[in-house]
Amino acid sequence: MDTFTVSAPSALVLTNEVHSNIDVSEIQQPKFHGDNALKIVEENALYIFNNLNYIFAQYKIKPVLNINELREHIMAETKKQIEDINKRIDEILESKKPIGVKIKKIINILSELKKKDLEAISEIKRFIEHLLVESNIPPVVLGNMRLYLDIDEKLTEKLWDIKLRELQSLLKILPSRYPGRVKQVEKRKKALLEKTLKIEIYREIRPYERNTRLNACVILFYILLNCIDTLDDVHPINLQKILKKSKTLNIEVLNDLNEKLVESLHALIFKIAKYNETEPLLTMRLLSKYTLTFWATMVSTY
Amino acid sequence: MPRESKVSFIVDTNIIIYDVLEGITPFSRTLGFFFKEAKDHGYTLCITQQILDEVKSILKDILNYSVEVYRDLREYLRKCSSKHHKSHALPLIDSFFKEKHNALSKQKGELSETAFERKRNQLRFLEENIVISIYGANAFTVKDAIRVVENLMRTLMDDYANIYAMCIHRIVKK
Repeated sequence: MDTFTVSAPSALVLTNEVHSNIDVSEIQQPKFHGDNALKIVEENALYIFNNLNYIFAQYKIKPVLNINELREHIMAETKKQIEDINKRIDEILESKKPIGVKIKKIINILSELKKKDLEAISEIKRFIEHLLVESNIPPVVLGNMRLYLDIDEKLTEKLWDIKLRELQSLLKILPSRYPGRVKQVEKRKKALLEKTLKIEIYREIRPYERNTRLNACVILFYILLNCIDTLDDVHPINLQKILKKSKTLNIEVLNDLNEKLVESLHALIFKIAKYNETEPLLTMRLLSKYTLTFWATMVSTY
Repeated sequence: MPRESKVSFIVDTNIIIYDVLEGITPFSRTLGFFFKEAKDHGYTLCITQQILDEVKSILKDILNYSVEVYRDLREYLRKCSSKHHKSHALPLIDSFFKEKHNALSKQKGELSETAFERKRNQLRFLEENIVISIYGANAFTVKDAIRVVENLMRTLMDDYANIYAMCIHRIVKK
């Protein structure tokens, strides 16, 4: 009778390890809770509004509208949207479709969110341009806000791209061709997917970004709150009314707030400049020769 | 290394600061000194915190003054547009800047000579800028000229943000 001596085809079988570049050491089967995103947004809103109250008190600004009422109004709107997204994500995670399909669907949702996020920033940028042309607010206040929004846009885009790249890299992980490994790899992919879906804010940048965002918010809110009489005016914002009233704003307070914004902006820019990336996070387009000539001529008068 | 500078910044050579060096003002002479120092030590251009602050305040002044003038011009053209909707904008612009120059002349005693000269030159440049833009856009009616003025304001804000960011975002690495 022939006897076969079966040798192990590879070390993989013996060690029972999945051959991939996934770092599984930190995975503890986290469960994705749809409430996470909502909780983070609520915390941020509370943080911003509390600081808003503090800064208003410091500068003795009396907003026309009750800030707590406004926060509840804004959160009620936001809550609906976040719940809708959470529902869609939960449905995808709970469905019995292959993991690759789930990841692709979630990538689509996140791309949608990225688009919305960037659109929101462009919307504020347009509002700032409108204020520049139609109101008497000092141009430099608006110019600094514009600069902040440029940075915010780049940062937001970058953070979304990182998140999307993480998900796309999950798609590239091939399951092992040995029986028994497929399930293991899929399980780990699922765990990584859930981990990636948690909203992780970069601790290094976030405090600066949040601080800058706060100051820009304060200026915008100051403009808005002094011009809005009831909550009904918040949505949709009655722009002409706001612009008409913005001419009576206290310019000194705005300038003070502007100084604070510039300080935060510096902190943020230095933080970004030290950011360990191959390409600079902040890239500005080159100015045209015509523009350059104008600024050069103006500067030459000093 | 530039002498006694705690923080150094690098600025693209083809931007505004480089052009300033060709002018002969105290500000540009100081910048010229730093430019030479920086070049000797292999940097494109180094400026100290003090100079950087000066650059920023100048940019701020230019933006505020230019937009202020253009806002007034826009209002002036708007008032005229109700009567002369399709009339030629250039004579109106000319009379607006004449009024501005007259108003400035009345302030002569209040301002220092340097500040007065600066405002006068800046008004000339602003007029030149708007006239060139109107010719460039072929926008000779009042209605079109208002659009050009608004676009110019937006461009100014855009440029300000760009130059400001360019001045501060790169930290020197040898």
